[in-house]
Amino acid sequence: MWTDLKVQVVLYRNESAEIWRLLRGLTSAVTGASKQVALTAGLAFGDSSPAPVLQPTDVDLLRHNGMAGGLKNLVYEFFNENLGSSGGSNRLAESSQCDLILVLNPDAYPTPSMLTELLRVIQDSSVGIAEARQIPLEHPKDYDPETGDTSWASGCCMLIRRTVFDEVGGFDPKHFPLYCDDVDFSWRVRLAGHRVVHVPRAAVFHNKRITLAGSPLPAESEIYHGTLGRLMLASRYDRPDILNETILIIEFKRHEAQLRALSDFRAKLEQGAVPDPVPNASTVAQFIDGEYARHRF
Amino acid sequence: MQDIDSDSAEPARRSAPDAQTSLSEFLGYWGAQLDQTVGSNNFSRALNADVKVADRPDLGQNDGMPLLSVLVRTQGKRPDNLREALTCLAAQTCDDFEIKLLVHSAPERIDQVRDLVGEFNEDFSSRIEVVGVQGGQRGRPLNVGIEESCGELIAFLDDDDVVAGDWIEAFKEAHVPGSPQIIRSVTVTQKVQVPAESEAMAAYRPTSGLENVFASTFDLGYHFYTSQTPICSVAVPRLLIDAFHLRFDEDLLVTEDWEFLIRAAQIAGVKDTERVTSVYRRWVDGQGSAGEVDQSAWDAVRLSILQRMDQVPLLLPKGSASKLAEAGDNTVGVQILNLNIAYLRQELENAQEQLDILRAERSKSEPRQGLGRRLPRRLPGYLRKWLGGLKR
Repeated sequence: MWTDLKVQVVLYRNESAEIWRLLRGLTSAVTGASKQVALTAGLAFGDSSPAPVLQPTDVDLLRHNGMAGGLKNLVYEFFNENLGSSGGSNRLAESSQCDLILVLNPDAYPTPSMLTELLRVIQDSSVGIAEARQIPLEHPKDYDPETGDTSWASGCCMLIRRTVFDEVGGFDPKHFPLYCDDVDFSWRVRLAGHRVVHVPRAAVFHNKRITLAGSPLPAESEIYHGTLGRLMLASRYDRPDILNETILIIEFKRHEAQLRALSDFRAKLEQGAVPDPVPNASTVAQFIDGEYARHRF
Repeated sequence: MQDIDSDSAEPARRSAPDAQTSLSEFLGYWGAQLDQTVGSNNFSRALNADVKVADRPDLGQNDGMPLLSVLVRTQGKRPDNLREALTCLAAQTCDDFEIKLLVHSAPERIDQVRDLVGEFNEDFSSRIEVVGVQGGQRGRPLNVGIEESCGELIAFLDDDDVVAGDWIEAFKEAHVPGSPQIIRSVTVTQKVQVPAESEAMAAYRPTSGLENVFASTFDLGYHFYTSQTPICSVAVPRLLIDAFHLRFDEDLLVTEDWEFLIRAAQIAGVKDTERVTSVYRRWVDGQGSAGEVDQSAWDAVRLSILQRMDQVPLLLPKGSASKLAEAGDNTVGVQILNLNIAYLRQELENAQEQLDILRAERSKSEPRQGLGRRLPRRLPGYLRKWLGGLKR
């Protein structure tokens, strides 16, 4: 069984109360998992904020008052630049070796059984990524109800084999700094022959606001980065039809953030900063009704 | 508002004993519900936060007691759901609350529930009291929770529902200390089902996204027709509950929350946050409360509640006159529409009959002279005109 887990959380302007909440949920999850396996877990915060969200005294307080159970050490690194979620995760992964990496959002709160369930699934050597299910807003993407296999795993909470992470070179911050980085990472993991599995019993609370339409309230950056990410995905996964369709829609809707993303994409194209198509892309990439998997609802 | 205190009213102003007006009936009914320490009919004093209306030694002037008590109702049958509901509470942005976890009619599962609570970080689990409850229907554990709790506001959560991170924050921000007004947020629904045995990955499986089927704002009049307020939508001030000894009807199989809310809302009114903060799960395979009771039982319960409500005059909030008139207009409009539909149906039947006659006549050997000249006179005018316009 796995013994060495590293939990990685990339911060960006998060409030102290949110970090404390995360720590409380995480300690419960690690404590629960430690009862099932011999587990050593460390927590690493990487801060992409313009200014540190945690001072040394805050970190000391977290270490002395917030750690419990199987959570053995806590490190905090201020990046002094905005690396985004993908770059931040890569930077944190560089600094130590481990058997497993748990990528976790700072606004998440694991259920006590979450880690136990993820570990149970990733025992299977064919599984490269085990993904938690979000509540109260469950992601609608499809998964095999018997095996859990799914198109991609959300960066909100994913447990990754370290060997797989290294094999595919981690996330790709150059092309996917924020949003769609998890889709790209998942598809590259699958191209390398590993499975991405959704684990419904591994629930994680994700603090999203719900609109009157019953959908999550999108973050400001989501529209821009989501659009740019889509254009990059269509390029890497060899879908010129999706690329053209997306451009047509952007030009028709004329949403400011989307137009900006398209303009930046075109600039990157000229600079040669758009990914080349990868072989066998069609075996993993799904572009269905504007999403990257079939949706159950 | 001038105190309405019948003990001090001048004799001339008192109603004659046999003159039963709506107002006297209403005041008489609710006056009898009032806590007797404030005197009958003294509504203002009853709803005054400075007055201790109940002999509760742990109720005071915010002396370290939590703002809010959350009554979580469970039978311990769905531990995964319960764990998720508690996780949602653990992740709240506002932590000024306690939890009474009411295990109803399941003494054999209380230890399992306590073990589940023990999975959580102690900062959170220490705020949860597990209470076993026996007897009664769905309202019984809620009444026990009311007795056991001490928060200024009381909110409710069933073990298969989930809430957003600002569920309590929304109640807190809308609540005015000392106000009896019920706070209401918006609840969306989601269909869920128990997966097939072969699909062992999940304890339950959503079959729909989040659907907004409940009104964003509270309309008491409309609530007599149908509830728009799942129990997780509201937080009720203890001041209101204690002043009128409000309790859930423990004999009701279902809709105990609807019945309670209508009574309470008449007295104190409802303040809407218009924020979506909770998700009500609808079990599509009969697993939830909707499946435990068949439709005829639901209808019977609803009818009995309405008949009980008919015994007492109602108090409607400002704006109700126009809404009732509009409802009346809509009712008349629907009736007129139904009459029109019936008329058109009859006309269509007539037209069909005539077309059948036409087809029969065309099958005979008479030379075709064009439909327009052979139209029977009984066809409606519009159809005659339309057919007459057809090219020969």
